[in-house]
Amino acid sequence: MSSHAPRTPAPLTASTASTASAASAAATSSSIPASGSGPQPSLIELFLIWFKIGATSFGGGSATQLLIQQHFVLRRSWMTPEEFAQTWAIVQFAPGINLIAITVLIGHRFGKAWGVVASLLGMMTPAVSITIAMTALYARVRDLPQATAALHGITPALVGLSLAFMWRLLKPPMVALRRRGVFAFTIGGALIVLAALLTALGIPVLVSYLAASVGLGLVYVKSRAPAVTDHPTHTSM
Amino acid sequence: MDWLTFFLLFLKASLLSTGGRGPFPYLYTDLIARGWAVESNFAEALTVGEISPGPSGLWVVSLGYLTAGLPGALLAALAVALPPLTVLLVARVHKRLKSFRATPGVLDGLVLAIIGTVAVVLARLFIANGVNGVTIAIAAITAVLTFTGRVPTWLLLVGAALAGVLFLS
Repeated sequence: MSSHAPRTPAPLTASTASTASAASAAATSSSIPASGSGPQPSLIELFLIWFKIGATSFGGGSATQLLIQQHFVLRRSWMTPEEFAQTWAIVQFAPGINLIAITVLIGHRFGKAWGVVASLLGMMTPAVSITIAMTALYARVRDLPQATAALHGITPALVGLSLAFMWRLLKPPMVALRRRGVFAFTIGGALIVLAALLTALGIPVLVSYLAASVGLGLVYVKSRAPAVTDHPTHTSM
Repeated sequence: MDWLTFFLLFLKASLLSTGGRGPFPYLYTDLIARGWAVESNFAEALTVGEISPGPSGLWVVSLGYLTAGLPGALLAALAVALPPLTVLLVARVHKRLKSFRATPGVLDGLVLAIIGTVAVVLARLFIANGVNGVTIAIAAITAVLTFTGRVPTWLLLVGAALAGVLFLS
């Protein structure tokens, strides 16, 4: 599952936040991990690796994260585990699909603009064309009575599936809010209800998204985070 | 079909959200309001997204195909590929971003809003599909099995499809 999937960090990034800050302390001026002096993948290698990831990964959650690590960290050591952890942490701040963002960032790390093009084309080509082919195949049979009945069965399954994913998404921010106290926790819950109410009333989605972002941003400015560890947001999105 | 509006709606949905399900409420409200999609298109597209390789967020490509054919699919693919490019900008400022106390709150707030909004959209999808004992049972069983994480997604969807053919035709 893509980014709604559990953001349970994969083994190597078990402490994303702390490793990332360690890595950023080590990196000099740039926030993008500095290019190592070791061997680097060529544009063709980048394309092929991302092609493989795009064709064999499913979802985009921790399994995919591990797959990317295998290619860039474990098998070839083109990146250090710290670099990878920092890259993953940066991706959490970008809009859209996380897997595409990490493709862009790693592509840029090894080949600047052309690296981005090679990586993105590599990852997207198999994934997009298989998605289109499967949809086209389905579109040819969708009018069969069996297909209609199957879809009637699949729709509630999709709802159940999504509910379970959302529960996993919900946990990290709510845990973080509870550490900030009852007030912050209550506001968090209220913002979910508010977003649901606004949508039910037909208010544009953007209003809900903005209200909750600004609202919780204010809560975080006002409430003090316990000094235990870094906030787990980097792994929550 | 107004291709520019079509593309911009998909771009907005991806740019102003995060994750695979984040664009769902935008596209659901925008496309249905214009009569460009029907409820069932979303179930169809999300299903393809779950079983095809690559990020499941590519379900919007499937939605593009179902609503506007191959050009629609390609425009949707372009619309989801562009917003993540901003990560290059984010990488430059991310240390400063991280230093703001509001940043994790803004990100967490977005997640909470997505959860609340998607829940409503899912409820509409569920109701439009038909509420009865069988559909309620399918939703509940799938939610529990997904939560335990022991049954692969594709198997759950195949099982649900079979249940549909057996009990809902």
